[in-house]
Amino acid sequence: MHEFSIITSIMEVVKSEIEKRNAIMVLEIQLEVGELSFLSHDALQFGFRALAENEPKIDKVCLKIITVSADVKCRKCSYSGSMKTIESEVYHTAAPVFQCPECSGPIDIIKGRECVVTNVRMEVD
Amino acid sequence: MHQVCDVELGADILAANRRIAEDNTALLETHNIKAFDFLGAIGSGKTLLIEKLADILQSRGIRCAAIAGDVAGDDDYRRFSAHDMLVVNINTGKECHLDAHMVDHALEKLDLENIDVLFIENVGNLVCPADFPLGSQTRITIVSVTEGDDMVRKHPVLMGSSDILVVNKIGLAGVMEVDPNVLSRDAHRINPHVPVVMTDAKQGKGLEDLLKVMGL
Ligand SMILES: Nc1nc2c(ncn2[C@@H]2O[C@H](COP(=O)(O)OP(=O)(O)OP(=O)(O)O)[C@@H](O)[C@H]2O)c(=O)[nH]1
Ligand SMILES: [Mg+2]
Ligand SMILES: [Zn+2]
Ligand SMILES: [Zn+2]
Repeated sequence: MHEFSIITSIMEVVKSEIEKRNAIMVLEIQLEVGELSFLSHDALQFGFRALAENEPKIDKVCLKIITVSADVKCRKCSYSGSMKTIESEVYHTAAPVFQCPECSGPIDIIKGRECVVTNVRMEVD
Repeated sequence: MHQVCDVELGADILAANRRIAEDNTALLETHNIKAFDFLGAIGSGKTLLIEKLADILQSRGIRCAAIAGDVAGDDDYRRFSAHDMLVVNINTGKECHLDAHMVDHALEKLDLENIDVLFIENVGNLVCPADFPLGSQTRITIVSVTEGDDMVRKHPVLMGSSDILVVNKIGLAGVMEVDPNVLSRDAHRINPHVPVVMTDAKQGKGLEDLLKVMGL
């Protein structure tokens, strides 16, 4: 729901990079979005296209979104790694289960909530 | 000749909020304040629950305060103010959630020396507040039986971001033909460790149980 403000921040990051490098054109922006974040990829793309419309130096189809899968760490045993999921027709997708896949203990989330601009590919002089 | 170059950035868009949230937590802890943020669908009973909990706590001599987050208006602010609490109103305007920065400013307006428990009511929204930690130590999600029995399974990830789940308005379960145990069972399938408390804020049911799991 707040994808537009997220995209606005991404645009600021990219624009300051354009300025710094005196770039001619941005060809690709790589964005990593954690699978446990609440950001919708469609809404991000939509917001991006809308804002890029007014940015002659940013190709409006160049946002590449990569889903980052979640990693957790158990508070009881030494498990660290991916989450257990349940597949069930009541959930639209496989739903993550917030417990240790090994010992069923409580877990902390290490990875999977982020929204990171990892790479900007641009044309420079 | 033009050339193509890759610039590695690693700019975390949500990191700024997270950092401010950590500062808020540190500030609250310096003042020995226990803070709880309440999130849940529109009308699920966030304000009424906080009002009732505050009454009980204040009668025990525990000093409460509240931050009322709403898109517009001061309805919740007025309701909290009637309970002898320090209250700050935040209107988020276009934004669909509170963020740590707004809470930081609200904290500046509160006399932190004279608060034991702080309630933060988020904007009614079950989707995105989870991306924006505010700095409270405990996050409480409220669903009510009037929203139907599929509320929890429609928002699986939110269950993993909640420390406590409240199923409210259980007095209406019969008329709504909703089994509150379905909500609780769905929550435990996703997050087996989350404490689930059944309440009816209107009738004052389950409030003591809720205070217990809140550690109060
Ligand atoms: N019957 C019944 N009504 C309730 C209960 N809890 C809240 N209500 C009523 O539900 C309505 C909405 O309650 P609020 O406390 O304003 O809900 P809220 O979640 O703060 O609403 P927003 O801030 O607008 O998102 C009010 O009319 C309350 O009196 C309950 O447990 N039982
Ligand atoms: Mg309210
Ligand atoms: Zn939002
Ligand atoms: Zn384990």
